[in-house]
Amino acid sequence: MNYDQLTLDEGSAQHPQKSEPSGAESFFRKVVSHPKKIVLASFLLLFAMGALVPGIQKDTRSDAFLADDNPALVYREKVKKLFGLSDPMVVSVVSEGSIFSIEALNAIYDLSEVISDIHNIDPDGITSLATENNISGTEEGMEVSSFMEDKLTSQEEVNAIKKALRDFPLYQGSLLANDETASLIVAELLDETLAEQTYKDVTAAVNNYPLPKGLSVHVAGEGAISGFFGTYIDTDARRLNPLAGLIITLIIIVAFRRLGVALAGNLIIAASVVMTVAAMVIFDVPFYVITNALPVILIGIAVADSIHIYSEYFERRARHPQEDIKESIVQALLEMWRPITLTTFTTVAGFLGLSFAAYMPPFQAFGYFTAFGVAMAWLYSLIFLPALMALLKTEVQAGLAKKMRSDDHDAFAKVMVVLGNFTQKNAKFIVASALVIFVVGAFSASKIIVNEDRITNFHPSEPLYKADRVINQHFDGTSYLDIVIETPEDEGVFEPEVLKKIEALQEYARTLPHVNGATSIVDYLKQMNRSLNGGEKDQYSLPTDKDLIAQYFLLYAASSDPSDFEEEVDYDYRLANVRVVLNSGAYIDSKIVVEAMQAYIDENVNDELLTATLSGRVLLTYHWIKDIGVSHFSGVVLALFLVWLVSSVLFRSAVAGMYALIPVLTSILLVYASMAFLSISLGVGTSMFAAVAIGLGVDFAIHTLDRLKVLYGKTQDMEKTLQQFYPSTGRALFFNVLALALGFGVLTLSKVIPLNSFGLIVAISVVSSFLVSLTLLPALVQLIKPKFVVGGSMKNTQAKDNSPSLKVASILVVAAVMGYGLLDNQAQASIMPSGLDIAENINQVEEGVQQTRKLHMKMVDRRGKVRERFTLGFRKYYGDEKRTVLFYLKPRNIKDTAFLTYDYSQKEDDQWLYLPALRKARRISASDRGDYFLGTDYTYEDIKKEGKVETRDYNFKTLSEETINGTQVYLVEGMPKDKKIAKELGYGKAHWWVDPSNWVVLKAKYWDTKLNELKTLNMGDVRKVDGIWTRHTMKVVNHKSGHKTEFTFSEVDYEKDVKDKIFTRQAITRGVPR
Amino acid sequence: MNANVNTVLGTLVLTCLTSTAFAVEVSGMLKNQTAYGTGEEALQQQEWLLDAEFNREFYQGDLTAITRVRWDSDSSLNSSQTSSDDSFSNESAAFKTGKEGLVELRELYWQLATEDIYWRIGKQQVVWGEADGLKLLDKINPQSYREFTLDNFDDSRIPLWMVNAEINVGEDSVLQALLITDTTGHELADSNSPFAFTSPLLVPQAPAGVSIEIQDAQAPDDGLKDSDLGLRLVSFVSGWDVSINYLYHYVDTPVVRASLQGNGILVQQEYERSHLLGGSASTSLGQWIVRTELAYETDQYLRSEASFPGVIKSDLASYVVGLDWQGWSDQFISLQVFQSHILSNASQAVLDKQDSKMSFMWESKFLNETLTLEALALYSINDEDGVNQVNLNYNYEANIDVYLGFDHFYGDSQGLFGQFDNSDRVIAGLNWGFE
Repeated sequence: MNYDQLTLDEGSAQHPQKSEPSGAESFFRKVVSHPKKIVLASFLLLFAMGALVPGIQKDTRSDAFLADDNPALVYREKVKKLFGLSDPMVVSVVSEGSIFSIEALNAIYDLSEVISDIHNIDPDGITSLATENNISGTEEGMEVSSFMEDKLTSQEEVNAIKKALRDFPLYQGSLLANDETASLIVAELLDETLAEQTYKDVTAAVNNYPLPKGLSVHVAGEGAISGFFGTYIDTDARRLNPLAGLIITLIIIVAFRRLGVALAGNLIIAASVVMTVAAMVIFDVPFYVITNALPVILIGIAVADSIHIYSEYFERRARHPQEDIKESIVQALLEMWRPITLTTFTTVAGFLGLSFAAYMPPFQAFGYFTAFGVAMAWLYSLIFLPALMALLKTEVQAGLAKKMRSDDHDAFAKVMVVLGNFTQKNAKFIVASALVIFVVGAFSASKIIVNEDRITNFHPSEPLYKADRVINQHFDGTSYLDIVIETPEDEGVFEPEVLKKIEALQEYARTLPHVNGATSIVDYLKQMNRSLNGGEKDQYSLPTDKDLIAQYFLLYAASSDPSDFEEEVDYDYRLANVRVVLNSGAYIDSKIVVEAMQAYIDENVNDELLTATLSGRVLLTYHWIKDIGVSHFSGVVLALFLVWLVSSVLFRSAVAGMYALIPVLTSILLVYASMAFLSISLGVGTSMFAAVAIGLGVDFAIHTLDRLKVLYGKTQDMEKTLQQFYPSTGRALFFNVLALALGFGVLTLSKVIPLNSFGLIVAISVVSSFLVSLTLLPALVQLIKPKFVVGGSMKNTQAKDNSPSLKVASILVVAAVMGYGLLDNQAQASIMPSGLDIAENINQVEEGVQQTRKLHMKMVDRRGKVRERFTLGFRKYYGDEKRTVLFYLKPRNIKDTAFLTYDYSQKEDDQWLYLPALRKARRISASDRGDYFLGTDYTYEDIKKEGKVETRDYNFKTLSEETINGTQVYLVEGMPKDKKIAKELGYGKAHWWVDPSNWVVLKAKYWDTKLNELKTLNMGDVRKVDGIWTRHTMKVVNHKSGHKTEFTFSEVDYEKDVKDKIFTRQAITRGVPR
Repeated sequence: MNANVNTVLGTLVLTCLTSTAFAVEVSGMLKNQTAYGTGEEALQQQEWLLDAEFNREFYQGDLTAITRVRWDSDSSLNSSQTSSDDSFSNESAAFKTGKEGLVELRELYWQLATEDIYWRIGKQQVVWGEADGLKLLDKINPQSYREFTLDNFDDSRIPLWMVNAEINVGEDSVLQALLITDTTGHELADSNSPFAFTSPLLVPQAPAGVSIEIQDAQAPDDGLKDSDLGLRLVSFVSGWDVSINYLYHYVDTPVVRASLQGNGILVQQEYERSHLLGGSASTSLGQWIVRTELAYETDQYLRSEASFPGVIKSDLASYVVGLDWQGWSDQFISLQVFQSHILSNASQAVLDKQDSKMSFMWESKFLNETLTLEALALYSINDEDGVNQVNLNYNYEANIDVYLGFDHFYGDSQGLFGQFDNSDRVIAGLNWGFE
């Protein structure tokens, strides 16, 4: 090792030719000559983007993991509307002895009241011993009375309840624990988005209640989990991220013994994180739960570039202390910009791979934005950092410099040298060990279980976790699978065949593992039957006569409130719900149940009498997780492929690409092996690790390969190459891995299990990637001497211009992004009158051949400023052609302005606009349908269509029945048939609420092409004029701009003769007709 | 005075309108424009306009009257002399008070639409043609050049007394016949105003040190014999708006001839007749609008290189092709090319035998069409001079518009636009409508 020799060589190689500097060199020289401007501009940009950051929206709901139009999610919304069912909070009251004591039951009574008063709890949605009714038989017939009318005062009352409950199988396991030591209070939420606050409120209320001795209360349930899940992870992540940043800062200081470097590193981290979050704000992407991992990743990546640049720079300062500092900076960057760019590109490729394969919006967003953040870090490292360095003029620390100059390396370099020597001597052994790891890893990978059980995301010490365990032990369970039964007509549920099928369905469900209960209207009917037939146990069965069944309900209604069944059956008795209860929320358990139920339904249930559809939280989890395995693996494969592609292009060698993959692949396999060994299953949180590992791990390989190539190019000797590699680049990489491993290692301190596992896994993968890069790769290079390393010569050092290959690589990445195709989930078929039928009905509503009307337009901008305009309009049909003319009457500024349209059915419209200022009518181009009409919030299409819908544009689907102001309406959804139409219209989705009594659209809502809410229209004052249904008021709110338009029509007249000549260009130049 | 006729008429009409048989609709606009000349570094214009419109229905048809009161607190654009009034016929002249004030009856007409004919009789504006900015067929009403072409055409166009009948022929065609008894011509800018014509294309160049006697122009005055006659057939055919136009009229600018008289020069001004024959067509093709117009004018007198008589006579053929594009929402982009050809004696004319001009306009609307930004550039290809106009208009309330803009002339002082190189201005204004 002869540094002096190296110095000499470098000295002459420093300026090998006095010819044209490369593009890169000129660029960096420019950067260091205008440091102040660049630093200022970078800060300004940072602050400008930083200003956007507070606008970030958080979406920590677990439902955010499913795309909005996922059929399971959509259907669940429908079920919620029909039956009022969703994810409830479940409060269990547990007694040390029997629950049947005065104190315990009174406590249940009180708590039911207390809970029903809490904000966001549906006061009609409480299910407990205090609210439910007992159905019993008397001489007169059926008696329906609540278990607890009022608080209890005597043991007789308690015993009566005990007996009643023991007689009512429905409640055993659901309200009453099988061992009779506990009871449940189930509370439905009104607004799921407030679940977290509600969980806190319920817990507080429960804790404030003076419990009698021997009684304990636990709050759990899907409602609690959903609410808490997001913020649980969020709060912990926010605690740990700064800690990670701090540790990394310390490492930098230790590595370079300089504060300025740590400052610079942190600035770059800040820049990349801030700009990424700002980008999320700009693109309207919310901050999801998993986005918490993004800053950690960016911290790790952003700091790597600084470490490498500073390392090179300080080494240069050590060896050329007389050199101008700016020159050192330029030279350091010339040496490092290529590998830094290479690593950036490969990392970006890795994350994009994740996005492409992901089907959940948070993962897609995560991949794209992390890639963006990495790119920002790269930009700042290559532009801002040199400028900052030029300003700070940080000199290498004296002690460090001395070490770098001489053979006396510091501790870290020494370690690397040892590693290097070991590698050189035992190259073959290393390769063999690697093969073994490969095999073991691949084998373990096949053993991985895909599973997700949301409760396990919480630490066992969390009250929520304990509560969940309690309930699942004592009761049927807390995980619900709903089966919605639909019959074609009202009172279809009364059909005995239908009820028999439901009963069979329930029985089948109970045979499945983890299913402890299945309840439906059938259980109530059976109890009613029993009560009315002497109370014998064998009378707990279904009546077989439809009229009898109808009478039972009547009898019930006479004794109690028929709305007691609104969670089991709908108002018209056309739909019924079967609720299947599981005692496990784990995917592997619910998968069996869901698939078995679906198979049973397909075979035995669906026919002309009824159809059954699965829904509920269990189904959602199933849909959510079932594709995770496939998605994960395809993501890995895709990311690896992209990394290979980019590396191959950048190194101009397919073989080099393969070399780059080796450490990453090894580390992933090692992780799979660990996961199998530690029984960590592949779930939502852990599936992400692969992309992160690829993204971070590949950097080690790239730096190694690049540096080996450059060094070999200079020395033409493999031994010298390896000897020089370890103390310099090896040392830098060592700090890199320390920073990452310790930074991510911080996450293992988290109580939050997903964060914990994620941190551990990433730390393992990063360390193994590092080790493999620094042992296996050099070993392979030493043994095989691949062309892409040894093929270079003296010339192929920093003077080489890599821009063509970088351009190719960037084009590839862009092409990959553009080649992204979306798999569309076709929505399931609807049940009510088909969407297309409804649309056709709407279009057939009479409009009248001619029409005269006055229109008052009121436009309100987002600040509340009002502008009013008055117009007079005429319309007349000439066969299929519609001619419309609109004259502005007031205000004076626009008086006499007129707008004339010939609306043809097949060809483009002809339009003219008369402007009084020009005294001329000018021909204007047929407006784009999606353009806004004369400054209002209606588009030209809206105005032309006037309440009708264009069947050629949309695919229609009826979603549900709803009520608007007491009127029953159908909700129809329209999705544009293709992207082109969507772009023309400006709509990605539309909803119409149609009144079936006259097929008039009463309300409409539109989403933009990115499916953000765009505008909502409300129609009012709908009445017949001259026998034709006319809407007199139309109000539209544009949610994006905050602008509102109100149209009020008056003096609508379909009888008055409209002269043909008014629809001519000449006519509109004459001003308002009188 | 001429103005008395107007005042009397106006009063009569107003009395008529305000009688009780039918209600009168009244509306009006208060407009203010302030212009600061950046070249002269002085205020160029501070103008207040109050336009009032009265509408009144009768048993047959209805009557419309538009009156204007103008007060210029900075009157650099106005002339205190009455000589420019001579461009106005007796019936049309406005009533002026000094240099600042003016009261006029802008329009007064009675209109009636029957089954086949639409009548509009009285003082009115009729506009022909498809071109924007430069006028080929739009030669019926004369124009006031007080502000050159910078003012709104609606305000600068001078209404005339005429009989206007539009007769329906066939399904989609209308034949318009005009009998214009009012012989009012263009109103030129005062010789002291920043917009006085100095270009040799338009006015004779006076040699220094010679006495000049200028005779005023005599507006033709002989009733029917001196009336203009116009005929236009318009139709909508296969998606095209087409028209064929014919106008027999006195050219609105008098012909200025110079002759030697004794030791000095005598300048005489006379109005001459001309025939105008032309047509126009426009259609829309997707997001594009195509507009074309052509005009053949006989007996045009153009300034000549020679000083005496200073004019040559020739027929003039002109055309314009315009393309508008509305591909982007809320954007309107328009490009026009004008060309005129001098058919005889071209070599003697100051104007090039083939003269080409271009115009480019971009209009953008923002904030639900409450904010409009318009940029207009007129450019003479032959003389390489032109004018750029930018205007930003904000609809502050539904009935209040405020605007800000600037007009910038450039080019050689001999050119049509370059002659105003020193008259660049920044303008600000307000339009307030009321009912």
